[in-house]
Amino acid sequence: MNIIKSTLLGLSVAAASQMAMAATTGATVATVDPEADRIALQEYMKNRFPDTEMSEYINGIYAVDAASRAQWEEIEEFPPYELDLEKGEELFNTPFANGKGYADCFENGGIGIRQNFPYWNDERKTVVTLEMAINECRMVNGEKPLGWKRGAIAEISAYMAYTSRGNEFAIDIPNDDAKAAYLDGKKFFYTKRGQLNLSCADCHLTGTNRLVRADLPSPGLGHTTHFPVVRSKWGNIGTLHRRYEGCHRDSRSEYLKPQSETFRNLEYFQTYMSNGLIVNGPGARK
Amino acid sequence: MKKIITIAAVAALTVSSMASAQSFNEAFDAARALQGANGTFEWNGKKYSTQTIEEALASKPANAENAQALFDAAKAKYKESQEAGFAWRDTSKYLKESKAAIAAGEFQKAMDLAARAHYQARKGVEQRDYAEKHWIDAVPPLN
Repeated sequence: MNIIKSTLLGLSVAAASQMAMAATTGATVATVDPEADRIALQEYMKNRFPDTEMSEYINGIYAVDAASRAQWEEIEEFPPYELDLEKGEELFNTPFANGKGYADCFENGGIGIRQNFPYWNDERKTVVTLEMAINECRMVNGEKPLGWKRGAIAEISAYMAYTSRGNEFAIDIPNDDAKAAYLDGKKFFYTKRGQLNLSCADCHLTGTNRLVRADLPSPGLGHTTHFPVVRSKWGNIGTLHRRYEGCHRDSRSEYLKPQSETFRNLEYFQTYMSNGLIVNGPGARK
Repeated sequence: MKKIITIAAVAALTVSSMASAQSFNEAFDAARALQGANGTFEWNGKKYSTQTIEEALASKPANAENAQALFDAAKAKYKESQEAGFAWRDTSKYLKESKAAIAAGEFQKAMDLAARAHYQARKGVEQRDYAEKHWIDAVPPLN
């Protein structure tokens, strides 16, 4: 009898340990805790890079790799996005055919507001990004939308980011619908996909500052603070979703389109992770 | 003391047996790596070939009927992987090339390309199934 009792107890210990091993948190709308996710990601980075100040994560790979940083600081002496900023300001201030302009579509005339994007629009039940708002502003005023990846939209976005430099991100997740969008973005970030079976996290969490062929992936914390960016590889300025598309394609997935719902949710998740960091866009990257 | 030892032993045996239970895919992958496409392996008391579904389909006689059947199967699987959100980058290209090869009467080429597309799409669907259970494991825990 004792042996039976002990065996049953042993089985229950085994089952409990299996359950503990399989226990997960934050995988459903009911359990996901964005603030816990944000703190956990910061802790992860602190453990990986104990000499890096949290405020430095706005600088991508240059926060954690000294050699890359030295090159970048030299590039920043003559920022490659200067002409884009000038062009962006000019475009921003050029009235539409109906006499109105971008300033009429945004809070505070569109100045110093980058940190408020993306946000959850509860009426439309969707995440609204800055680039989406720029194009919607155009369409409401009878103008054609701009292409999502490069050129005018990146220049206007760059100017708006520049007027917001130093402002802190404080992205809000107001209700369960917004939480579902956040969770969708979080799930995308951590899910392996494509022929290379890679997730965003494989490169930008565990792979941060570890060579992927000849490249050093940046930390997944602070990604959204410095866009749009002039990438040396592109040779011109581009939006965050242009980069998302490139990353998704590089995993050899059938890639999503810029400003697709999933990419907007990914931006929502990533920007929430950057809460407390400041806007420093536009930037220069490898 | 005896009781504690018994509990620990049963727990350890149970955990180790649960951990060592191989899924079919794991058993297939291990046998395939060791034996290539022409081997056999046992799983849960039954014998299986190390040939993939696609290799078996592509080794049928190369004719219009078999090529079209494999193309249709690959297209359906590709659609499934797209709907899952796990389609791979080059699958649609292989399907287009397979279709062109059927039109040109190059049936073996068409079957090889459709088989490749089918394999990619099947793996994409498997990725979805795996991700549903495991994506959360990659999220850093809060200490």
